[in-house]
Amino acid sequence: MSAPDFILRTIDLIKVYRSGKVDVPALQGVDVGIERGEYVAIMGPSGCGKSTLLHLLGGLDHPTSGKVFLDNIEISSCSDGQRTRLRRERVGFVFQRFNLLPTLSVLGNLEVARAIHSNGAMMVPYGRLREMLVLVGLESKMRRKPSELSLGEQQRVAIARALIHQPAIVLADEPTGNLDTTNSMNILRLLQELNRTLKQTIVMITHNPEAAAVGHRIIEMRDGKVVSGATSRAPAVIP
Amino acid sequence: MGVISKLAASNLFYRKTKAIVSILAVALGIILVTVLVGLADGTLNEYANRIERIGADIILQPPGSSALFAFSGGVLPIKLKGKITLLPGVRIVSPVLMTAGAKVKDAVVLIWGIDAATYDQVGVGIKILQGRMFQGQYEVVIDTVWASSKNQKVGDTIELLGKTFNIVGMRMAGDSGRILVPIETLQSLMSTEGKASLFLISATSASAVQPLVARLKKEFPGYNPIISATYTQALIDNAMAFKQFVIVVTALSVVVSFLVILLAMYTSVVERTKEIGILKAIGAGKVFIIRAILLESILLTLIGVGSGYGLSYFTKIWLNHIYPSLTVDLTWHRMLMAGMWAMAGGLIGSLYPAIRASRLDPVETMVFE
Ligand SMILES: Nc1ncnc2c1ncn2[C@@H]1O[C@H](COP(=O)(O)OP(=O)(O)OP(=O)(O)O)[C@@H](O)[C@H]1O
Ligand SMILES: [Mg+2]
Repeated sequence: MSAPDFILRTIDLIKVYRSGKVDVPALQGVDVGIERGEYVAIMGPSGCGKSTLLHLLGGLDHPTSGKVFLDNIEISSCSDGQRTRLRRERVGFVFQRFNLLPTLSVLGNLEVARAIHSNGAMMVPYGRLREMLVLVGLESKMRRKPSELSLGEQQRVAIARALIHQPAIVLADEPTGNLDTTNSMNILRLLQELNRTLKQTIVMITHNPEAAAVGHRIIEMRDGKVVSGATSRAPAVIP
Repeated sequence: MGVISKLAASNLFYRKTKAIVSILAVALGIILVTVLVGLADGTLNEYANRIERIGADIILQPPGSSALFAFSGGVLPIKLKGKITLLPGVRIVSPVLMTAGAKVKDAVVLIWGIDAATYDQVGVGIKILQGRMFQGQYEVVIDTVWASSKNQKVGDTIELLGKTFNIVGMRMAGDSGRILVPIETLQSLMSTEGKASLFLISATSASAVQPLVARLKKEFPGYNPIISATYTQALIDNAMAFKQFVIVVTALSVVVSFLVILLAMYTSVVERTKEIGILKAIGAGKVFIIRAILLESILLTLIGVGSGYGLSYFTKIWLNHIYPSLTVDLTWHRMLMAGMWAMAGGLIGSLYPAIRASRLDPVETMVFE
């Protein structure tokens, strides 16, 4: 049996927030593995640690203990600056809302992202901006400000932005959480298509079982622990 | 860089009122420096030019008279005149008593008390265009600027220091005071009998000027004999009060732009915490954030400085319109200095907000939705 090609992997991940004098255990030993090309949904009740896990997977934060490997790089022991660079090069984030800069047009938002990503060795060609806008079906609205778009359209711009640097992985935290059913379905279909045609690895948090069903697999969480679906190859739990 | 400038500009114009208020405040600092200092500068230059244009060779000032505004009033005993006249190389000595701060017809005006006989010989003399030189105690000669701005002519009367004077002559404006009166009259009105503000001295020949200056310094220790042609520069070099004034006003303007930019950028950073968090989440480093904030503040200050220049110019025109006797010198050199200090103030003011923004934790900015 060949070793699974994990693009993301965690080992005994623990995250404890200090909130005043109280310790809040958000993650209590999480072992998950995401394979290249997978489309994974994370589900679980509010406060169970989904966002915390996603942030650690994307190098937004560092764990209290345990390890995170992204593309076989241990990002959990990286400095802030190194993690920023890893995010810039390998991760695409989509959040629930407040994704876009309100002062700039759709194109302006992508241009800023391009300026951020075109740093050092990496150079995002300008033509990719239009390509991505075509992909999410918004090239005709690229001069508009975010406030002149529907919430669904804004999320599509956020997805376009998350893709312009061809990240190893797209991490989405409730990307449809603010949307009505029609818009939600559009976004989910878009993500599914990206996964199918571009082989884009996607990890998405959702509360919606229908949304979760679009992916290959569901990671179920409860109280800071994974209760099912940790990897695609049961019972391949990492030692 | 282009995209960051675009981001900075769009942020700036997203909150128009705040941007305009900040721009105006920075502009106000610039106006403060250029107009106030320009006014002091202009007054000083105008005063010095008036003395230079008389055409005397040497100006003798009393000890400790380096500050511009210490000139009014008489402290030089007139009786020194006899002693100076006896020095080798002296052709003629003419005492002048002046009051710089007399308010006449809503204008602050230079009234000079002169000795008509010696004054006419010490320099280029007085060119009467209309009427004649004063003879009686309460007669005055006005200049053309006074005549046109105050609408007065020969034959009118004028109220000076509580007395009514007859205007007997009008002369070309340019040198000495706007209003000339007999020195004895001014002495008694100012209660400074036997005193003068300065002596105008002319030498027997051009080559006699330098030795005479040296002799005067020796003869009257502490006194300040200045060659007329270098008077403006000497006055500026010695005017400690003027220099301090420039420093205080400039410092004030730096503080204004520092505080304004600090406040503007600080509130921007607070308002845009989430946006900055998003930028950091998608991989913007500290340098990117700092650059964006600094660029925005530089843009803000630059527009403020530019507006300040324009408004200074309008203020000058407006001041000249309502106070024709005021001189405001807007030198490009001082404008540039004022602009650079404002930029420095703004830049320092934006440092703290910029660094603060660059240190925002993207996770924390997104948790509290
Ligand atoms: N910055 C923080 N400081 C302190 N406690 C935090 C912080 N972020 C999260 N927590 C706590 O950690 C726990 C897990 O939070 P997390 O945001 O990961 O949950 P979640 O599963 O994403 O919930 P939701 O579905 O509501 O988004 C919660 O108890 C939360 O209150
Ligand atoms: Mg969450």
